[in-house]
Amino acid sequence: MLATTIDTMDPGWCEPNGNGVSDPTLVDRVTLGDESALGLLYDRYGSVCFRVAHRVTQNTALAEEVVQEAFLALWHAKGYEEQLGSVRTWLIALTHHKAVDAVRRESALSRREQSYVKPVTRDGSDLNDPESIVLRDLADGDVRDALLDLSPTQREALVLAYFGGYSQREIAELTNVPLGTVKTRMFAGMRRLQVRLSPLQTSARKEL
Amino acid sequence: MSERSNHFDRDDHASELELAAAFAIHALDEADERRFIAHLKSCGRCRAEVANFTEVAAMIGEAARGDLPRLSLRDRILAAASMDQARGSTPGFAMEAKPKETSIAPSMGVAEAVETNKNAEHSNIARFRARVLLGAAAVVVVVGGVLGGIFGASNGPQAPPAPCVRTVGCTAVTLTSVLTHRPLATVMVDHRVAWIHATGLPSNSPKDTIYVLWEIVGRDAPRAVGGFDVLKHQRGPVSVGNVTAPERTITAFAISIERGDTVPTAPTHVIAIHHLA
Repeated sequence: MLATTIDTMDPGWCEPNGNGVSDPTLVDRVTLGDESALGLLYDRYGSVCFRVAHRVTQNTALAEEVVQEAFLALWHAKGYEEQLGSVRTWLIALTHHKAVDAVRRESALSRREQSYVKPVTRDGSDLNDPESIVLRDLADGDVRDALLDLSPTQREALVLAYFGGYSQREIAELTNVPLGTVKTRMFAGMRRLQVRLSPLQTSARKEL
Repeated sequence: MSERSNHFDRDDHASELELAAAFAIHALDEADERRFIAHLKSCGRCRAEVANFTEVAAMIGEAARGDLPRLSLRDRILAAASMDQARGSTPGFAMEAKPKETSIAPSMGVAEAVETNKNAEHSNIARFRARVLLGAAAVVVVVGGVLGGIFGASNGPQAPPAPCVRTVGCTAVTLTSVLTHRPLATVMVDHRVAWIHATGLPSNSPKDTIYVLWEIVGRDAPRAVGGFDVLKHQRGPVSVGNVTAPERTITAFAISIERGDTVPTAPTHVIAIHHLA
């Protein structure tokens, strides 16, 4: 018992810094209780996770809470496995999921009504409407172009869902269209984005 | 683009595929989400679709502009992780002793994890012995190198120890692993009484082992302050004993783990140390 107690405490994998250490290796270290590995993963993905959380919650304190929850979920080894995709994707997805849960939990109706419901337009050209502001604020030109390539109704459904945190049923009510139509639009939009963006995914993987 | 133009791959699996896209961006309503999660368990095709759509969704998220988080967020997260570890809820220890493929209950403690993998226990003994030797060597080096200093420095994002919260002038230091330099415990001295807050020490088996806190003054032999156990659900600091040397003369604290249940006259397996600047 003594031997194992000490061994589990001092696994012997620490290195002075994380330069060149792969994400999966850092995750392995995190699951062994290495706080420095958690810090390195935060250094890599904390900012993007915060941006996603802040975009969804539109609240700095809530966004920080969400990011903290996401990284602590990683700390607790809840859920990440390599077959789920890259650590980056998993962390962003988890953060987004938690951010959506947070806005639903807080039912920040005033924020959501002010931000999305009233001024939604369907042509995607008016920079004063939130959908367009989201598009304008996308730094990545490829992603922005891919979103602009969608039909306005597909884009609206996806923007409301991803950045607004709305469920399909809520979107159906907001846009006054049948639920089945929203489902179809969302699937078609995601499929089209996948077609447009998958070459970028492939090249990104090669870079890694 | 028409809404029908993307129906090329819709077949008898169409409704599930629709759910896959929405699932990836967390847009399903609760009932649909429950249904889809149940479906995912037996559908590799939908799992693959979810993975692809999740990649797409992450690219959208990554493209969003925005402010940077406050610098304090990083410290906050690491402090929270450290606190969780102090509470013994870090499953990393469990993961160490159990194959990754198996399901690990987050609350699984070290003891249970060890029991689940006897093979790992045996294979670890040799490495343990090597580390004990390294640890013992490290303490000699540290003690020899510290000729004097000021008591009271602390490091690491530890929680405020309870005695020090209450007492003005209480001093606290964080002892780190001699190998990994991870914080393992905070030692607080309050009116000569030494308290231990075992923030990163795994629980020991009191029948077989005992942790010992040592005070070190210059090149003198370490002196045991007292023995203590770290129990599985232990919370907060515990008193260990009284320091005997004047606080200003103490140059290091060390923690060792010893076989049996008595405090030896000299440390044999030093695992954590803090030397005072």
